[in-house]
Amino acid sequence: MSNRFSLIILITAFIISFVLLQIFFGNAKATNFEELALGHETSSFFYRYKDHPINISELDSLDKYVEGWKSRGSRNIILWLGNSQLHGINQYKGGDNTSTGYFYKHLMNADYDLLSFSIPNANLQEHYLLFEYLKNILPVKKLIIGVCFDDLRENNIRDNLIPIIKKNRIRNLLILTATGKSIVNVDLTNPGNDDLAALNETIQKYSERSLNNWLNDNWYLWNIRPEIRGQLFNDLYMLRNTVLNINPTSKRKMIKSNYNNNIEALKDIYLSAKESNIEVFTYILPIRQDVKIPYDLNEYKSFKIYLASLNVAQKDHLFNFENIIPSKYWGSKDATMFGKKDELDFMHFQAAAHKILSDSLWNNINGYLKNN
Amino acid sequence: MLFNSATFIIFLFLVVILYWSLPHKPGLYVLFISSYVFYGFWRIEFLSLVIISTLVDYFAGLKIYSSQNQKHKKYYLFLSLFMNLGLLVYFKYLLFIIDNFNSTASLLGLNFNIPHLNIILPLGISFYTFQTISYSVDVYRGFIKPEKNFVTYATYVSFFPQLVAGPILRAGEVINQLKSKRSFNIENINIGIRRVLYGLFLKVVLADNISQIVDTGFSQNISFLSAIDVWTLAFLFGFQIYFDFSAYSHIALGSARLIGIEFPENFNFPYLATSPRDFWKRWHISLSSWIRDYLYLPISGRKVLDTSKGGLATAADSKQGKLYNFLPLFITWAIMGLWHGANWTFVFWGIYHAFLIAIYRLTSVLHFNISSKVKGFLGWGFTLLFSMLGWIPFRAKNLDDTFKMLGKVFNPYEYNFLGLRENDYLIAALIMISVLVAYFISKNLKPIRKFTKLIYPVAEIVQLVIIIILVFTFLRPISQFIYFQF
Repeated sequence: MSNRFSLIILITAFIISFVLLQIFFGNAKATNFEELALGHETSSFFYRYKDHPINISELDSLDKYVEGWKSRGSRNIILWLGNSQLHGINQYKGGDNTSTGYFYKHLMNADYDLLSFSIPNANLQEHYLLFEYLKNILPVKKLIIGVCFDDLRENNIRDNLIPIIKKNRIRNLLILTATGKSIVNVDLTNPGNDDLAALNETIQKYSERSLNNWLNDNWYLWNIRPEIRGQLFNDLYMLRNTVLNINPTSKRKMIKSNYNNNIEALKDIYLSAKESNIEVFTYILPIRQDVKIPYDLNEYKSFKIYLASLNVAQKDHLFNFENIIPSKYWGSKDATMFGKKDELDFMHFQAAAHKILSDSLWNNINGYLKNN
Repeated sequence: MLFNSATFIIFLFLVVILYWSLPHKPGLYVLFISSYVFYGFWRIEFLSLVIISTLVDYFAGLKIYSSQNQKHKKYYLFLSLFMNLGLLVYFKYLLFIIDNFNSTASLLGLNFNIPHLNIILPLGISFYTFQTISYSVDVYRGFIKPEKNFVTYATYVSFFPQLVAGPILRAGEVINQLKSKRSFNIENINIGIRRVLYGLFLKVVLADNISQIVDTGFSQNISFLSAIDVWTLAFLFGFQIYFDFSAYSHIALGSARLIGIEFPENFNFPYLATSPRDFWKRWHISLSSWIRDYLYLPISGRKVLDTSKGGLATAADSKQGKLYNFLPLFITWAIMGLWHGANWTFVFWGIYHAFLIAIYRLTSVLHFNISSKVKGFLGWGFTLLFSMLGWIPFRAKNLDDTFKMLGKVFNPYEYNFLGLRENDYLIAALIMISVLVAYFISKNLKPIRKFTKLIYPVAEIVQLVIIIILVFTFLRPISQFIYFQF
């Protein structure tokens, strides 16, 4: 092959690449991948009371919550930490509410306000981080924490929680525990969502930042690159599932190290709460029971026994809600395989089930709220 | 300046345009100035070290050559070695020395502590000091004449494609090309762009994404890792460092090629090596060759070579299997390890490789009644497994973690569970298969081209389109090249 022809091939490849990018992503809009993961049958619904959020998912919304909390009289707070089950409603219809909303209504006549913080697939290390932060800035008196066995496979602190670690006061508190120390250490090495992480303390940081800003402002394809990356990873995930026939009912084994880190985080939450005189209520998340659950049953059983052993001194503060939601309230979600339409959803349910969860929780802790 | 950044792409484009649009002499000045700009984009204050190293060796080279007295020649050589090694010891090893001194003192119950100094490791110091040492030694040995033109010499030392992470090249390999009459040709541009693209692909698409799995894996509590997990992490880090470092070499070779300068290859499918010796003919060839000619052969009392090709392995030919030959081998490898980083884990890594080579030397003289194909396959299998395992000390936090992890590999009870994500095993397996496929294709490229005359250009376009789209999508300086820390 002549050099000239070889160069023509190279130039052709460049042209085709950018034409393809333009065709597929030229008009692409920012994708919310967490929303995408919920599927078309499930909608996110973050309960608000009089224009102020009660259920939030991002730290950015905290200021707005605090504003509302102050306007409602700055009462002591019940903090409810959970995953997307708290804000996902299957088959959403106008007027539907989430467990947060129903629970807040129960609290109307109590001396407590509610802050519900739900993060998709949140692990207990993230909950620990949030708890340490929130109890330091707000008068948290009770903590409700939903524990999902599947989420104990997760180990990372997501990028949008990293700002908490950067706060010196919280950092100093975190390093007092093993969980906190490892979270702080991860932060030191994790570039997070800083695309220029390798350029810290270099002169190039300034040129790269200016160049990137200019490219973002003037070249749409450059600006949309994070979306393209997300789409690529999503397609790879779908490809893996299709090739290996992985679906929601496929058994997901416990990842020992991550499981241990999360259990240690839960212990640290209990310890930290005890030191701050905060009462903790733990519940095992509801899971659909009409099909075989995707866990190793022995591992799941051991997990429940261990959780009970951690709460042995306060047995009435641990609730097993795994069976409380009837089959009819569970739905389906978008397929995670190519060529399939829908798949079973083990995590999200309809509004009626949110009411059941909220009532179950209220019935169990109502007495403790009156006593205090 | 980081290669994996938009700034570098623009910088390279401007340098290439400017270089080829100017006559030879001003073109050389462009390379010289742009190389200093390139380094200054990291931290301008450390440019002074490059300048000091360049100046001292420039004058030492001239003096070594012009001195008639052997003693004087030695004196100037010593000056060059003292200055370069002094810089290296101060910036790279002083903290390590202080740490060890303090630990030893505390072990002996002595009550004093040398306070820690705030020393920043200058980027590329291990590379440019080795390069300038080789220059002075080569002049002393009479292999080359010193370069009289300061700008040419300074450009050789600071030439931006290889300044911060090699390849470590001999003066003879670069200076002659810088001086000789250049001519613009399409082949260089074509190959140069492709090499830069391949390098960026290896770095931003493969190495940077694997690094997230590796970082998570190595930060886990070791007691929850199984032997299979240790193997998986060893393989994943082995791939990460290979992609990362060979990426750097690709971009270095490609950038140099764009200005008409050819560097020797630094990697050649190291994970396809059929023996530990073969591995070191294929991995970081320029460093292995440097160690061979300026360390191993001199302390073994044997004739040195004058090329950055061949790697460390070519030195082992004549006296292999002789026990007395092992001491220089172990000394060399311990130093080679230490060159990579001021930590005992690197020394252990070096000695581990010395052991592998020593065992290979002892066993290679034995004759087994098996076919050469089977022998080659077994050799490949053992070399792959043990070279991958060798990455554990290289990546582990400390020797304690290293021994714990290696201990698991040799404990049969540690093979009965899995502690990583399912994806991690899958990715490790897929990459290994991809490396084998890439090797097969590269070995059979000519026949493939011959039999797929019409399809081949299309296949090449498809391959390039995938690479270009992925590089465009993932290009961002989220992490440095691993070898920057050395």
